Amino acid sequence: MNSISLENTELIKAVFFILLAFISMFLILVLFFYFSRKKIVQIEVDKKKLEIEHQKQLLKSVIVTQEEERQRIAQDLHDDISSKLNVVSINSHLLKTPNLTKDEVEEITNNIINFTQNALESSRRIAHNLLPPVLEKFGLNAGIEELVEEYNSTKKVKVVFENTINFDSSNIEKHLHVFRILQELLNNSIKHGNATDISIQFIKLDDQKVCIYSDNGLGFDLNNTDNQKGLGMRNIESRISFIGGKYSIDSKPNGGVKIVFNFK
Amino acid sequence: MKLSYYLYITSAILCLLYFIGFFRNGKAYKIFTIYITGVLIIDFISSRLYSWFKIYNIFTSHFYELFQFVMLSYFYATLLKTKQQLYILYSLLIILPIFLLSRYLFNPQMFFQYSLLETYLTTLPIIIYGVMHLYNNLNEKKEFQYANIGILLYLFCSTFIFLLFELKNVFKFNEFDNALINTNIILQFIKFGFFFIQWKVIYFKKYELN
Repeated sequence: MNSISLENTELIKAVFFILLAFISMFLILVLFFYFSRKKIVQIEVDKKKLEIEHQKQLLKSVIVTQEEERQRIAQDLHDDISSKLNVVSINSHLLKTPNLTKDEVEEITNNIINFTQNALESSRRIAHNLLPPVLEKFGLNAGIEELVEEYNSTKKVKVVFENTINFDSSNIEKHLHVFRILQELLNNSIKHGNATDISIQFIKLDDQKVCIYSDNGLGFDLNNTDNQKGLGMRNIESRISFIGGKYSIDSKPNGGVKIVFNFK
Repeated sequence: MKLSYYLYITSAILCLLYFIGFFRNGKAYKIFTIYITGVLIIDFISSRLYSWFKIYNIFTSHFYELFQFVMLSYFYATLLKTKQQLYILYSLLIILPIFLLSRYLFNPQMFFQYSLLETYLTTLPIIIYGVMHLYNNLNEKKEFQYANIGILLYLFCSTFIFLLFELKNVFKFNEFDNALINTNIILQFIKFGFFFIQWKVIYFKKYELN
């Protein structure tokens, strides 16, 4: 009798613990799935937030650049054209002065002619800087060639340009972006990187056009995000996203910069 | 019997492999290596106890379980991140051993009996830590993920096996004996498989870095 009751308690104990184990394992599983789901949703939300934040930053950089560009144009107009036209205007008024000698008239007219020519040259240069006419008339290839030539003519830097792609002239808007990216990259290489050798290469991979840009400048630490998130880089990034491409940067301190981006 | 020998050999090889990178790796790795070595030693001694000293090995399960609990608690203490998780872990690490040891102090006879409560109390927290680690790993780099899965899988199943073993003892289904023991051994092989993958991942990752 005693042994039977002992057996019974043992049995009850064993069954109880099995049941307890089942229930606790089940509870652990349910809790795990509940919290995991919550966490995964949170991760997704964070990712989306980050994306939105990134977009906002891009938009901001576009606006800032636009504002800077306006300022630059205003300054160019003010410094180069307004001041010269002012001189022309003063000289023209001087012509009205009575009893001018022949020499004086000659000098004033020469001044007027010189300054008008200067102003004309300046206005041409400003227009050229805003949108190089070559780009519009002869396409991206010629535009870049001209840009490279301009840089090469300074003798401070040697830019090599190779192109195997025939750019379609109907895609001028995209080409303008590519042109601006290269302008910005060249500017960065010389201004921040002190580069002396720069190479620009266009190749076709499948149906994608790929641009490989590299310099021998100072380079920068890729792990330092401050380097990558300057206004210039953001602009490049937003332009690449406009033309539907992707890009990659490879650089290390004193190791130059290599940037590859693609577009259609 | 033969199967369990293979198990000891596998376990010993695994311990050796883990010892190769012992000083190169972090705290979690060291604790884990000590854990698998300790378990192998306890297991081997307890299996030989009767043939060497004519002592029944029933009390070694207490050592095994307590050792496993303490070592794996330390192991997860190095892996778990949040304060709450560590708070739970450390409080259990203090309370549980005191509770279990005081039971034997008050009732020494219990030391020579297999205790279901002990099995339950020492494995459940480890399973919870393992699940916590799995949860932490959802969006972070996956440290010891294979070892964790191995531990979880084995503890999940072995807890039921130990409980069923007790049920079998009550009913005296002795033909059931071998089936349970063999299942346990096969589960251990699977566990070692996961531990081996874990070792490979750590070893070759280190190798690449060097």
